[in-house]
Amino acid sequence: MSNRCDLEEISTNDTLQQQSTDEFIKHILTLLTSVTVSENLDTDLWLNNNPDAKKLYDYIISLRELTTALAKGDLKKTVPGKGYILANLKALQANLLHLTWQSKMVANGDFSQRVDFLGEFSDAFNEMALKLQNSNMQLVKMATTDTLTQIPNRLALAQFLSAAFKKSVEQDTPFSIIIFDIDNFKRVNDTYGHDIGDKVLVKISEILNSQFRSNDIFSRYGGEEFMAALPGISQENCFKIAKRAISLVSKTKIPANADEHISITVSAGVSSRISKDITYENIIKRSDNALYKAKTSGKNKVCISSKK
Amino acid sequence: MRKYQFYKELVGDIKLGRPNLEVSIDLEMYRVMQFTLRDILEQKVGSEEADKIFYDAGKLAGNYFYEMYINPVSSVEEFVGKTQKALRDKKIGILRVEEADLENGKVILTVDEDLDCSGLPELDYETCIYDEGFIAALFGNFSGQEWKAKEIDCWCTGARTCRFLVTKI
Ligand SMILES: [Zn+2]
Repeated sequence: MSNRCDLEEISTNDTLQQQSTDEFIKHILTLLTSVTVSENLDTDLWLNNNPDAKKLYDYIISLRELTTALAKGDLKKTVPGKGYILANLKALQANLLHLTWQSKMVANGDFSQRVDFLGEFSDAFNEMALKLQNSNMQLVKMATTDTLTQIPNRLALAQFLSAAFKKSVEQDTPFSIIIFDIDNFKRVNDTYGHDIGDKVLVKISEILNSQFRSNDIFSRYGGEEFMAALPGISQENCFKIAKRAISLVSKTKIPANADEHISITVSAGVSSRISKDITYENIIKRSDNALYKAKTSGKNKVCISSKK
Repeated sequence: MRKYQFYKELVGDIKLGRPNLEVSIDLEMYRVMQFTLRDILEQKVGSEEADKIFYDAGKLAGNYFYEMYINPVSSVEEFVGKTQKALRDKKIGILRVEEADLENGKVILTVDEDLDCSGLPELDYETCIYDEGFIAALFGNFSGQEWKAKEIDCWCTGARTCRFLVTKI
């Protein structure tokens, strides 16, 4: 009799346990597949005496929380747990976070960012960054180049002058500026028209430009005025360079039409940084005065500032 | 009187000294050297002290690395960019930034394919302590302030990438 009772008890226990396992599996499935999960579920019955069930349950809760956050775009969510699937998801999260940082860098003008961890997306991102880099370079070039002569414009000149002046003061090295002005340019325009005038500007800028080093700047300063700035070059040496340059121009004949050539001359004023100069404008002022001297004393010559 | 004080010339002229083998060694042997050293250190001075020694040695290496391959830099962006490139060129690991708030002293980094731990068996502790010191030193050199680094995820603990929380002290 008692035997039978025991057996009944065992089978009741088995049934209860089987029921409990079934419910546990059902709950796990719900956690994996359903949007909503009933909140007030007592899981202790399943988990308290079964460490592996507890591990499985915690792992799935972590998975559920992390994937929910990822799906919503919340990249900062951290969940406990390790191992293959969570590690893969965390790696994806790390990649997306890095990508976010890279995008911020691109937005700040650092177009050198490249992605190498998200397959096809990487190609698209990198193509975008490369195109931005190229178009940005083009824009910078356009903004700093004179459209007619293709030499640096005043914006580029100003950037160069302030950096070079600062360096010259810091290192106590010479810094010279030449202003060139085409003599009687108005007459060229009036006689031959603006197209020929433009041609003259281009040709003269080419000749003068050929006389400077790559660490100098030669730029269009105004209508028929050009400015060169020469770091590390003394006033005396700068004077020689300017003289050679204007002499080259005076020896060149520029074709105006099929049977006519124009002779052009250029005047120039030269000055170098002196110790009391506060900005590069001080040097420009003196070069401009020297240019005025050259213009009013016969043209086709270089005058030098006498200030020491 | 110190016998083993580290200075950069101690590394020697590797190209001259190894005309055939040059700079490379098998990473396996690098790890054997590091983990055997750590084994003995732990036996002699205990785990905690061994970890401290590794962290401080990493800092020394970070100082060297900064001076040789990162200095000079003028912005955070340049610092991160140069560090990424140098770590990759030296095949130390692939550095990524998750968060970089240097002003408030909080940075989160990940290192993929880390030379110290990627591919290691799964353990229940983070293992890249030498790297922690190394990273702390990079930030210290860049900012001129003290930083500390703590590995919060590691290959050894089942992550695919090592993640470091770097904070200003
Ligand atoms: Zn690690």
